[in-house]
Amino acid sequence: MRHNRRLFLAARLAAFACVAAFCLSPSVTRAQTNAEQTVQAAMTKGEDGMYRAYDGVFVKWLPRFGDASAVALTKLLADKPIADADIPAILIVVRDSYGSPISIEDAAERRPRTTLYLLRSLSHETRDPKNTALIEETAVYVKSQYAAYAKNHPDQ
Amino acid sequence: MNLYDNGFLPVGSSGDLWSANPEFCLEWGPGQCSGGTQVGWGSATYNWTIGATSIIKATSSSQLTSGSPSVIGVSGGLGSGYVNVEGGGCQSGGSDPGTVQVPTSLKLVKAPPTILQQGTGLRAGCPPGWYGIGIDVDYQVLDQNTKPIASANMEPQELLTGKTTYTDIGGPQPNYPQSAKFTRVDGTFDDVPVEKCPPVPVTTLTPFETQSIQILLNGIPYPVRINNWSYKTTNLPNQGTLTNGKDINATQ
Repeated sequence: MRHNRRLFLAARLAAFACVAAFCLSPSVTRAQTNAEQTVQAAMTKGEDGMYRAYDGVFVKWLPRFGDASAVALTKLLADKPIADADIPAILIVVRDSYGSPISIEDAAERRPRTTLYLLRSLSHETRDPKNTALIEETAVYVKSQYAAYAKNHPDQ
Repeated sequence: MNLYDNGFLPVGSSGDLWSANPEFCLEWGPGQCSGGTQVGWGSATYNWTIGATSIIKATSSSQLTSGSPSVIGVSGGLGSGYVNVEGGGCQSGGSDPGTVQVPTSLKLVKAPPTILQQGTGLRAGCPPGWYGIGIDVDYQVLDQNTKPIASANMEPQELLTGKTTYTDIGGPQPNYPQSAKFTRVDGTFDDVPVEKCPPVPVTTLTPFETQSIQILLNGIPYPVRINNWSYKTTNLPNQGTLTNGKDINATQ
């Protein structure tokens, strides 16, 4: 049952990644490439065996990408099994990517469309109540960050 | 006579070799101004040389008929400028030593460093509920004689574990206004945030990152420091230790 759920998640993520990639305009491609490289680095384990996403340097890099990070995560995770232990790393990437929506270089990436989809998908994936709470908290954080930005920039 | 403003010239930067006006006089003796009234006008010819061309080079020929010749620092070290001025029938001259500074090391301005508090928004550290600690490390760039380099043109960069190219340590970050691409005028800069925020406790001191820092000045990179970062947490959120095993230790 759980195996089927994971296959289903992988299929959904793969399909979404294809749609997301197809929709990328040329102007977005460069930002997306940078986001993919950065997210790939964040989702690599360091010499301590922990995901590098927990290192402060990603707090510097990820806020430029916003929703592009979720697209990159979706593509990265599409063909891989996701364990409960992986979810906090995914969440901190998402969280850092919305640390400052005004800093997101491509304005089109400020609205958290793929991000919220990814979080919904993750919430279906885990049975760990701690992860469920973290996912919910991350979604609230992303929504509040975007809402605060949108309130101050109603024209965008 | 001033070789340049304060005797220090960062490598790659230029400064005036001669910043004083030549003195002219109505009455004069051979080789010197004496008696009479000195006036600050007239034309002059500067004849000058540089004592150590390997560290300071001139930006123009060795003889000028107007203006002040300038010099540019090439590499770190000591040098001297010699100037002889003739004009209006007077002659004066002098020399001054100068030091060309190059970034050589980093001094920790505040020890222990500032601990970023958990939370969100401005100057925040780890997310609420997570383990670990975040800090703001304030450095000052020192030269080969361990004197500060007062320059706002230095660009701190870092090479982290797993990366092959250096990237800027600072830059515009709304949540960290103290972070900047270049040093402040006193040669200080903030590396912020430096943090490790695991989702689970890690109670033994664990290495996680090697950070090589270089200072880019006028297109030339100068290695100044290597930090081998380690961390540990307690079993409580918002508690932990970050250390480079040397001069940086922060615990909350």
